[in-house]
Amino acid sequence: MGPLLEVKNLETQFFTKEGIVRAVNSISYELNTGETLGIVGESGCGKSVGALSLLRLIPSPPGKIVGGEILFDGIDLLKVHESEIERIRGNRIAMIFQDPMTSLNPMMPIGRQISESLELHLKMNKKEARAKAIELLEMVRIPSAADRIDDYPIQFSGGMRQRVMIAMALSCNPQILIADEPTTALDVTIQAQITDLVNRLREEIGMAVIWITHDLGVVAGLTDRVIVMYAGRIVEEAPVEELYENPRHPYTIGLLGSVPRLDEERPEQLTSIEGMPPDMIDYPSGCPFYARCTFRIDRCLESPPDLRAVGPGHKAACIVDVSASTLPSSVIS
Amino acid sequence: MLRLLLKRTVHSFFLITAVVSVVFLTTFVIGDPVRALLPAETPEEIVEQYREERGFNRPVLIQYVDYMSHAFVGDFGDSWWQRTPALPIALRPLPATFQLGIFAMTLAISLGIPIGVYAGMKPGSWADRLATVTSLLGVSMPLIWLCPMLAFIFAVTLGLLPTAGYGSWQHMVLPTIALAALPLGRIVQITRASIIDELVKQYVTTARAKGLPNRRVLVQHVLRNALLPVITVSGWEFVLVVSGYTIIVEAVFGWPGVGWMLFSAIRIRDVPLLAATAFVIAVVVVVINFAIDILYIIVNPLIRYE
Repeated sequence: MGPLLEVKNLETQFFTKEGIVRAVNSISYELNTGETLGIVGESGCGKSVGALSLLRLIPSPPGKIVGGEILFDGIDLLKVHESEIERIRGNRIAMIFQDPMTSLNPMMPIGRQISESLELHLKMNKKEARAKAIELLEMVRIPSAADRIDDYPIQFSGGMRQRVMIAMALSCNPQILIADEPTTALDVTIQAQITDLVNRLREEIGMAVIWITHDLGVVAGLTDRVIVMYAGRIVEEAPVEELYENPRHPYTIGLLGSVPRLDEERPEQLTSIEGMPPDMIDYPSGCPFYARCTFRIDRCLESPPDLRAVGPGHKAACIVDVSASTLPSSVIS
Repeated sequence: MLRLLLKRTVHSFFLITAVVSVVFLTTFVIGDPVRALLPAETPEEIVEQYREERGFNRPVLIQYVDYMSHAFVGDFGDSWWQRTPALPIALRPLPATFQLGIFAMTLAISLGIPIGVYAGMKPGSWADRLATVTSLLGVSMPLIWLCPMLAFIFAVTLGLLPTAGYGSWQHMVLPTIALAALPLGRIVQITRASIIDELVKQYVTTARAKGLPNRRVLVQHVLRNALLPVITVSGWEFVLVVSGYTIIVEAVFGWPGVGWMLFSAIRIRDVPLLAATAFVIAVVVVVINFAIDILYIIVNPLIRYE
């Protein structure tokens, strides 16, 4: 059986007055049934745009998906009619967002916002949908759900609102949940509750999760496989443990070096990555990480490096054979 | 809700009291009402006699208390022109003004909201630019110029409609258009801006991510939220229409409404009638504001939590 979702050479750009912003540059990856895939990267690396592109939710104009394929269950989501993708959104592929304070409609009771999907996709009548909405709120552990179903988002805390978002997203038992930094805006303790909740429900429903975050700690505890993005490209892809133990891209090495770890005997000095990500309009023709890379060589400027296999299930987009312990010396010919 | 209504009632009472006080000040205290009433060459002793009879020689404070206590029960004295109580005379033209005002607002809202929504959904398109320029024209055209221009073009030059007067539907057309121009422009502007604001909000993406078709996202999520400020602005515009714009429009088109009455009262220096008309307008303003507040509470459930 093939992968559940296959993204091939996805390219999304924004056509602004200042020029074309190359937000997502030919990314390809797969997602298997029931798997949790982490996508990490710093702000502006294209991880959210890439996720929104999956469901064609990029605001257009100015955004546009200019190339690639997104194969889901044998169909290319980029080619189907709008009404077809509407049947998939919220039903078979659902999404939760970063800021629970603004993600819900402030003027609509939460119950109505949940039952809306149920009526739309599962063709429930109002009464059934309402009963199911209460059930869903109980599932995400909203206390006295039946009493709170007619409350407005303003009456809930951030963590509670994210629970409501999750209840909404999971209402139609989706095969894929795209979680776009759902814990970034929350307190650390609430973050843990939300990640645990998603993990538990993932097992119950058997759905696959794409978890987008800039928090490497969240990725470590939650995901099976990780994709690291930089400047709209995938720079490394590996099973989660492999990535932490043996990062093979200079950017990943830099990222991991900047995060404190509790599982190491002797905590080392934290390091930072010098410089800034490249201009996404005046996009570099060579490796986008060149300017900040400690392993760089002249050949890096020739063309953006493709992902290449560096181990089992492990790919890195670097022409230099680096690892955390190597120095910039050996070059793959 | 009840507390809010009570609060607003008390507010309204003070507001109307203040308006009547100002009217008293400007008509009876500043300037000499007796001199305004009598011909310029009237002998001094007759002026004094008049002053005595009508109590204008008493201390201002006494006059004020006397005036207010009468005004409190709706007695603004007899109209100097018609020699009957002023308030009923001031109330009589109210239906004509409302007729015009409601028609104008209906026109402005029923055109303004769809135009504003369409323009807001496609900012930068030629339709949006047309709407933006036209609405700017609408809000910046002085009525004192627009009314005569309308009369000149459609009544005098083209002869399609009567220049002025009251009676048939043809008489209503020009004053309604003139009265609707400003509110229409403003409603288009505010609706457009509000739609643009709402459409970029995160909850719209959430609604789309649910699989709702764009039309349903617009109708069920965006419109309700976007129209809240439109309700407020429409209310203010309605207040301005019946209490401000009509004075010019009714005067130009000879429409026998409150504005025309106010204009006439000033022209013939009928102070009690002027005061009663100002009072009527103040009450109308307060009542409409009250109605808007209640409407706003009904359409915005969140106000209870703020």
